[in-house]
Amino acid sequence: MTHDGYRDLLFLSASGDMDADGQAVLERHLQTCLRCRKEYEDLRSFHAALVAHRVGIEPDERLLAEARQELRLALRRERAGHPAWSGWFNPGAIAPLYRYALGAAFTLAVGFLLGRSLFLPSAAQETPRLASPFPAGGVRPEEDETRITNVHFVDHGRGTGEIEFTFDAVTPVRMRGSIDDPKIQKVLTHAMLNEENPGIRLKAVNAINRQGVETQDVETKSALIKAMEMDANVGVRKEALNALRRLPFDGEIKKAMLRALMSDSNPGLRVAAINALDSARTSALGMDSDVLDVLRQKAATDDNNYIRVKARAVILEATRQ
Amino acid sequence: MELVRKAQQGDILAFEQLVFRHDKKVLSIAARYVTSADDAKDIYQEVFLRVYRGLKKFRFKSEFSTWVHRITVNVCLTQRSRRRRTMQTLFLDDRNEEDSEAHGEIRDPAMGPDHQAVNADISSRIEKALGGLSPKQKLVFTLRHYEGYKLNEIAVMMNCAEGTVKRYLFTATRRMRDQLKDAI
Repeated sequence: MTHDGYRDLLFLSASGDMDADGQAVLERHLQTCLRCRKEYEDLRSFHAALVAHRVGIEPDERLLAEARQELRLALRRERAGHPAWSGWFNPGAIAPLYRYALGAAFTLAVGFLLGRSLFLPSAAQETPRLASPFPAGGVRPEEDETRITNVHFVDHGRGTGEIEFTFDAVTPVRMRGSIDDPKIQKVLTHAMLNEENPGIRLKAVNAINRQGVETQDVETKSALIKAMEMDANVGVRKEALNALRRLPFDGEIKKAMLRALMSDSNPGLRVAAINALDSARTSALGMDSDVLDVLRQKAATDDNNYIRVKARAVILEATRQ
Repeated sequence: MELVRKAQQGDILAFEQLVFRHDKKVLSIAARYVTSADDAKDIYQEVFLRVYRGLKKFRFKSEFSTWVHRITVNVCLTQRSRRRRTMQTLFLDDRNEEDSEAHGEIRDPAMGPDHQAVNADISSRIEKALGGLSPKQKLVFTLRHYEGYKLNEIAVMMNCAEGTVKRYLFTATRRMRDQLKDAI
């Protein structure tokens, strides 16, 4: 074997990647070659010094807890349908040259849109009103008028005498009825999940919670679960959890409570989830191994000391029975 | 395997348990590869988001851990610092005391101040030398020397031949020795 061949072996041996046969061959050579022996010693002390001076960040428990918490939030956004990278956009990270170019492009785009909205005739500005065709009963239009917006011409009717267009007809509606009325529940669940204003979402959940939905309506339950798991506002999530506690405890609600306990960033909500699981101990499902597994995990790893203590207490109580 | 199947069916609890089983390794690799806690957390998050999005396509042709490690390697290699302060923390000299204490760089109290200063200087020079390597060389070097993976394990993670890994490590070691010849 040439010296270059031995150099490869030296390198592998010093970094601890040599098999026994190769090591035997190398050691025989080292007994006779001073140059290689010197190189071998240098390499070994180099590796020892590297390992003694660790680089990078120490991946300690605190960093792990922070990373897990941030991941939970990103997963929540992902499940809610918002791409996780939306929160990562950082204008500061854009190189200065690109920043100027983007700024100029943005200004041009805003100018173009402003000019268009000011100088082009818009059908929406007219907002003609139509008589509403709503039926009488518990549902009635607020002012008996429908607001017409966003008129878009599909066919201008050249030659045929007929025109075709689309528009949005927005009618304010006032509803009055029992919370158990499926129509009322449908509107409330829609508001709970789709309203942009968190105050409205909270009021929708409140309405369901205050009156207490006795019926096991699948859609309402599913909307409450979605609100508890995905709403960006912790008040809405908590109110949804409270509403779910008033429904008969079943497998679906149990899983939702476990997910909230595992993933929610708010300690208060995690405590409420433990309480819900604890109070459901007497239900037909009882405290099964799924619940105990999660509680054990929380007792060991939750960032919040109170939750760890609480989880331990519930486990103790459950296993004592 | 059962846990993976459950997670594939949308069971978020199963997914979280999978994360908890594998995330220490992922964070450790990320933390050794970059020099700021924020960047390590970014890598960690990106890895598990890719795992979450790709879970349904996982066909059990490899171990789940191998798949996660491959994703980790890919994310490390394509990682670009999203947080501005990364550039300021490339060298240990620029790190402030608060950050280093917050993330476990606890110094040995038995060690005298002179010794500590020398060690900090050597660590700083090692990091600087590592910064001069190509991403693949740096990753192989940190996986081998700081994470203790074998060459064949690194080859599986990087989806390349063991000989290629050996070449990266050989070149990285040679360059590091040149850079650090008067330091260690």
